[in-house]
Amino acid sequence: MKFSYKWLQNYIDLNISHQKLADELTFSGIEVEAVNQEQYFQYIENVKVAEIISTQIHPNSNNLFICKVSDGSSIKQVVCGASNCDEGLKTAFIPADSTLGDSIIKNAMIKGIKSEGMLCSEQDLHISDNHDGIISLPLSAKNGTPLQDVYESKNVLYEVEITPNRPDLLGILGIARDIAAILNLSLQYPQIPTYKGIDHDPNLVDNQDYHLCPRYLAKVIKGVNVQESPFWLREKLRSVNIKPVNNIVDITNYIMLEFGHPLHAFDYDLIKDGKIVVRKAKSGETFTALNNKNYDLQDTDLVIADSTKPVAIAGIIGNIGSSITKHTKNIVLEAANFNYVSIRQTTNRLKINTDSAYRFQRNLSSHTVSDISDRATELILDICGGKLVSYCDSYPSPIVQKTVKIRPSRVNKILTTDLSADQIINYLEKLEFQLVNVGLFTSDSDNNNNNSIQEIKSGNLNISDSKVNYIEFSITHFRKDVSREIDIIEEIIRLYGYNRIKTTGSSSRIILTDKNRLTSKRMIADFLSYCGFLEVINSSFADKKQLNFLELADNDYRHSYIELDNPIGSDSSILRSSLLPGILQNLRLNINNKQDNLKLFELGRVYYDQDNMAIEKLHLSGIVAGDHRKYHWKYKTIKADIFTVKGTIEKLLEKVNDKITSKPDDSQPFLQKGQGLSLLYGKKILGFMGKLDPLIAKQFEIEQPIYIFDIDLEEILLISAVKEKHYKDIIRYPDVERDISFIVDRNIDHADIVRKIKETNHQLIQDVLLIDEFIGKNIQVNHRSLTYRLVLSSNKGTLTDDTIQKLVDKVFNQLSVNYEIKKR
Amino acid sequence: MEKHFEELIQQVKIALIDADNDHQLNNIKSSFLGKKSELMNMMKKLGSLSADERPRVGKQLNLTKQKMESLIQQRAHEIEKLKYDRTIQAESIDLTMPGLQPQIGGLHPLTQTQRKIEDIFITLGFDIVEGNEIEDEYHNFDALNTPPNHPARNEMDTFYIKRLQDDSNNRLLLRSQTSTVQVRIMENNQPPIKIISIGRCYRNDKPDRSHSPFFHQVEGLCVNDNTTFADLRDILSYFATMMFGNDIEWRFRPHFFPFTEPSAEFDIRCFSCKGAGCSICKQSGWLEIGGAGMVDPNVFDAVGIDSERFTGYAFGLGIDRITLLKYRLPDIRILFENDVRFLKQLC
Ligand SMILES: [Zn+2]
Repeated sequence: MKFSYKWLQNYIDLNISHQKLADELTFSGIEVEAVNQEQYFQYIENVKVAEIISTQIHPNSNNLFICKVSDGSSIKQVVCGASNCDEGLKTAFIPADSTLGDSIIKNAMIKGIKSEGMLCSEQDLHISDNHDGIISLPLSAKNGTPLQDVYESKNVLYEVEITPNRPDLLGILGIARDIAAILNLSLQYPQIPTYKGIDHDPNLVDNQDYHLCPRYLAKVIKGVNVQESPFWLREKLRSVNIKPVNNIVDITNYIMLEFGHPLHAFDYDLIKDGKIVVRKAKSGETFTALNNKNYDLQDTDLVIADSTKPVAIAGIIGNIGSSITKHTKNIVLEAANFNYVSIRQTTNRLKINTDSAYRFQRNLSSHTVSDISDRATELILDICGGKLVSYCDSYPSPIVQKTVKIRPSRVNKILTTDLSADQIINYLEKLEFQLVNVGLFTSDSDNNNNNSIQEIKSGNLNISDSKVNYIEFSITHFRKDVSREIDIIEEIIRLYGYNRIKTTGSSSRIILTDKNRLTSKRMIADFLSYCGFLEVINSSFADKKQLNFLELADNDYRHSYIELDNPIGSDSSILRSSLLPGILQNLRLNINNKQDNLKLFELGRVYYDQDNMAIEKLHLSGIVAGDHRKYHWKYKTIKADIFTVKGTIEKLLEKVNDKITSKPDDSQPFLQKGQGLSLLYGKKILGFMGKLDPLIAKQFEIEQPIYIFDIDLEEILLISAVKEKHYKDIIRYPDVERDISFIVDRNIDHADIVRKIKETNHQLIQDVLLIDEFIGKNIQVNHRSLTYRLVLSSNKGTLTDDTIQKLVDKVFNQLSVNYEIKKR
Repeated sequence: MEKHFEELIQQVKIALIDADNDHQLNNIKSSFLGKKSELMNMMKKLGSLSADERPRVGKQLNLTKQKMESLIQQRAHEIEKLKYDRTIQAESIDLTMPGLQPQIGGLHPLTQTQRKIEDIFITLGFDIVEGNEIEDEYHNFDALNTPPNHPARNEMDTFYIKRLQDDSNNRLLLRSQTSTVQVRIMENNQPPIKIISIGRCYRNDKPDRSHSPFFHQVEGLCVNDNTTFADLRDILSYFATMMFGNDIEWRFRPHFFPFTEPSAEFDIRCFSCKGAGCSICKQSGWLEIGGAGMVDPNVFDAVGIDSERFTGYAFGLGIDRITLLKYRLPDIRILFENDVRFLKQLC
């Protein structure tokens, strides 16, 4: 459904921005699909109104004319080929030396005659695709006026989606009615004339199917003059992309666009016997429509026929034989309503899409029929001349208006509003629902009097809202979608504004926690669980003596523990500044219970004093002892060692944030020298892992190798992957593997070697895996032999042996440049 | 001649009887059908036969060749089948032996209860916040409408921190309930507020079967224009159902807390005796799992929330208590011993 801002202004005093109108439509339930500013201004920039003051035939051509035109300031001579360049025509003129779009109009000699500009068709100016001659403008247009001021330029076209329950919005008037109700404007309804003393001719219409055609109103108008429509009418249609045809057809289209209810006009003299028959098609009947296509009809299709043949498929399309042409003198104007189900079935079967069928499929109101007929008649008599001679209105069962009772208390309860009865009445009257009764709470409840309505309306009777039990409205005929109280409530909220209803706040509005924090915490605990770790929970109270076992430096934060004034006992007199003593105690208990392959972790707070402030921080600590993988009758036992712990923690932290790294570090006094690593994010230390010094383990009465980790979880949660992952192209070609071996000084780190290898070619080297370390026979002292597997692939194609060899050579070259290596 | 053909076929048959691998089969193939085989020699000699003998012998030769080939082919299939059967036989094993299971650990029972509680309240639109365990007297007592001489402030009940700050009027302590979070949140935010906070609290109790000097609570707080006692009952009823099952019975029992008015204790029906009375419920038929009530206007006043306009409810539930009941633990201390045999049982 399309309409323009200017057209809306015919009915309401609209004075809001184009965007605001779009918003208001959207929030009243009319979905705006597009808002288009008209594009043709650039073409009519230099075009003016001009009058042809004389026309003569070109001496050298029978198809050309020489026109003298007045553009308000001077007289120009223009050679023109249009057949309608008659004397007195007001048209569009573009003088020489001005631009028309991308081109420049020049003075020219056309077959020996000078031409000082160009007279334009609408197509020339990109206004429409009409090129039947040059533009004819209203005589009232002043010569020299810029054409932009004559056209409805700066207009804005709206394209909206109308939901199937609202056929009343298929006309611009319906849209205006809703907008008026929302913005509290008054609606200027078009004047509907009444025609009295016209012959009622019962023989004019023979309606044989009241079910499929609840109403058929025909009017005969004689002596019309069919020609091009006046400028304003053409311009109105053009503004909503409807092509003008002739004045009669344009008027029926115009009324359809205005009211949303289609009309049709037949050439009366081509209706055999002058009688309209509304009937079902006969099986096997064929029909040639206005679109030049033939259709086979079935006996379920409704047709409009004369005494011999169908002249229209009812509500869908007319035939060629009875359409309005410039020869038409007398017309029959049809205004009718058809069963929407039947129209839908026929339309779907025949696959015809017309503006008329689109609307009749939506269950229109029969009541509108007389209004549109009278309004069209008025325009026809006014524009096309002629005389209304007779009519016939077949309307056997006029629709009965229903009423609905609305309780203000109910409205306010459902909408959580505080609307008064007055406000509700105001909203509904804007939608043309009529107030018929107000019910008050009284002792004799049903004894309320209708004459109070007038008094309420006139303000004479002051009724407090608390006294109003219900308000009764009669539902306007074009709102078939409204029949219950709840439907009315929906109308009220639509007009009041969905977004003015406050939210109840049953959900919290303050987002106090980063949801990511909770998710990451759970992920970490879950990960460790699935890696075989059991979670432990220990007391916050700790023993100073055990903390001292860790041999921490004096300035270590763990030394700044917090003491209690009134501890339960001397072994629980401080708050823990590390999770390790607690978890080591758990380990001892379980070892004493002869449990092996122990993996424990705790995710809990530590407490310490920092510049007289009590700090509480989440830490993650863990411990591994015994087997990494327990015995199995078939597979080898794997002993826990520094690499089994390192692998687990590396993988966990990789999931948290792939920028976390580890590096050998001996700074923790309780880790065995050369067996400690720190965990880093950039330069920031997040924690450490390593082997517990055996002497310290002994303090905790543990004799076996112990591997531990301790991580500042607050830091981890801060950097845990907040950025979302996005897809990266995967390499579509197979991987190739190549192993390389070399002997190198023991002091060169693996991590360093891998970095150097990758630097050789980041595109092709996908991964570098250490697959063997060998120390001993045939290897010099302080050296080791390393074997790496290079995983190679390219996104450009499968790698050739040649490319691979060159790459391997380059890798060796790169290593030789940096270290002293011996290839093996 | 014909007889000779028959003989050849017999020879192949005999040779094939003992052949039971591909190698033997290939040998038989080359000796009977190879270039130097008798059959091939006969083929080569075919040209020297007379014209009327040639087609007949030729045909015989071909038939013999085909027959031999098909016998060898047939044996090849049999050997293939034999090989397959031997493999299947060799790979047959005792499938009742243990598989290689991944060794997984598990979450502590308290963590499991905590997560379940978090999920229930997240579903109901609560936000989760964290609060400090080390608090001051003001937030733990004064702001929660606890009078200065209230016994809870006693050192017998509450742990105090050794002077970190020199403010003897507002000493640091270990919070005795998570309600301190209410105060902190309301000091810094205006309603609507709808939060839970889970954390550790402390009371100076001697550890025994049902007491631990530290324990865990979930604190709930909801403040809005029109939050009612009915909303509180609704939320806790939903919680009880989600936590303990559809048929759980629950009740409110009037109680006193300084920071709520009216206040209630929240009980669920003893699921051991179903109400008949047993040792778990101390013969009452009910189990207490927490306290609740409408936020006292004095608390709103202390934090600067308009107590005329807003109402709110608060509740505190014991996570250790709920865990104890859910897993039927005989002694709360078992939760903090961290004996892996206990942990493995419940994870
Ligand atoms: Zn019981």
